[in-house]
Amino acid sequence: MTFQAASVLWLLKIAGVSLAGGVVGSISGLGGGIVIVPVLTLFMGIPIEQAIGASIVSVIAVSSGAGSVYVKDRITNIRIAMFLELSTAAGALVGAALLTRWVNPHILSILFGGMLLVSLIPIMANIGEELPKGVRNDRLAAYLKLNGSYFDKRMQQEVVYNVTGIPAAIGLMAIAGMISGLLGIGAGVVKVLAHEIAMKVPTKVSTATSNFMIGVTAAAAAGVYLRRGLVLPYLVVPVSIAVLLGAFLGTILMERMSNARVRQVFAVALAVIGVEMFLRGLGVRF
Amino acid sequence: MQADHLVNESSASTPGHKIAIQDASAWVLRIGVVTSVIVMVVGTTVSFFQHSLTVQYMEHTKVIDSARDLWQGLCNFRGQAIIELGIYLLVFTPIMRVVASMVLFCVEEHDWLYTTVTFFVLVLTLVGLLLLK
Repeated sequence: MTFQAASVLWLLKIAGVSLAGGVVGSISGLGGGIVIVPVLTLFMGIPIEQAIGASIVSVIAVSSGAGSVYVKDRITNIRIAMFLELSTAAGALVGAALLTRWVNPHILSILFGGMLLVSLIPIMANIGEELPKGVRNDRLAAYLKLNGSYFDKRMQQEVVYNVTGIPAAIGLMAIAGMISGLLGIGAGVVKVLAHEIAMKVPTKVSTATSNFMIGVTAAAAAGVYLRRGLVLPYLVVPVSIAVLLGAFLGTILMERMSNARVRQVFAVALAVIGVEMFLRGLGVRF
Repeated sequence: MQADHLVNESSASTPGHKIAIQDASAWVLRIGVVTSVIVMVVGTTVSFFQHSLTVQYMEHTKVIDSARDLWQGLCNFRGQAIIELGIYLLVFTPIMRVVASMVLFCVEEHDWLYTTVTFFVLVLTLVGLLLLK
């Protein structure tokens, strides 16, 4: 029974990174991967596959931990989540089962990174807007009863919202699924984009609902990583526990932030992931 | 904000004794997360007494391949096997909340459209988790 100082330090570093990942992930609806994967690979020398393996489990932890709070507080729109999970799950299967043989992951990373950087434009265009205005339910949204309301702790009032652009959102979700099936990451960001740009729901609802969905997508992907031996148990324990603490902290912060602030956090994360994917596609190892 | 429908059926106060899908999902997620963390901590504590935990060891230990090895490890109270049980519990947590909402869409809401949608989400997720190589 020995426990070296080096291993304690190693655990603390991993816990610190994961805590930050949990906070950012639960506010932005992206899971913890954006922080965890680059730090583990760049600064701690963990191979990218194993880092993604740990990150997938951490996404499940953030999604479930933060999700339990957002769902209880009715910020998550459960119908939107269920309906769009269907198209994400289908896309993920197609991506993982079929497309991996034909698509070059480098080119895909470059395209995906570019696409994310371009999607910064519509996000930046209404970066300071608190709530989307003049949104009317489209036919599908009305049929599927997707519109909803939540109590905003910051504004201290019930926010009622409509939902539009369902066909575009379904398409984006299928793409989100395929990309996550192909690259193992990056599904959350397309989900928030679909909510923000196509469906025009309040930002808190879009990040909370994305947060809710990514757990299921990650669970489907986790099987592959577990079978390939890319989930390191002793790495996953500190990551999961710290990411959960971060996620709970993130929910407290997010519920008290304005929608505009949440969108700003998301925009920064979006830019970081865009650059990250772009560089990875160009063959920069991290 | 103009809204076509001011009352949102799913999130407005649910009448009578109905169990709200949101509350049920929140509970499933909370129980799943807490249980898996407890199991992982127990597993780490046990392996701490079974062998030395060096950075080397932690970076190079892989998951046990087969369900049989995992089961044997659990029977022998091996730390690593207990940790892996915790990881599997965590992975199954979002799936259990899909199961819970499917049951409630069906039994409490009688919403056949969403029962069907949730059912297919469940099937596709399980196919991904169990079958993809």
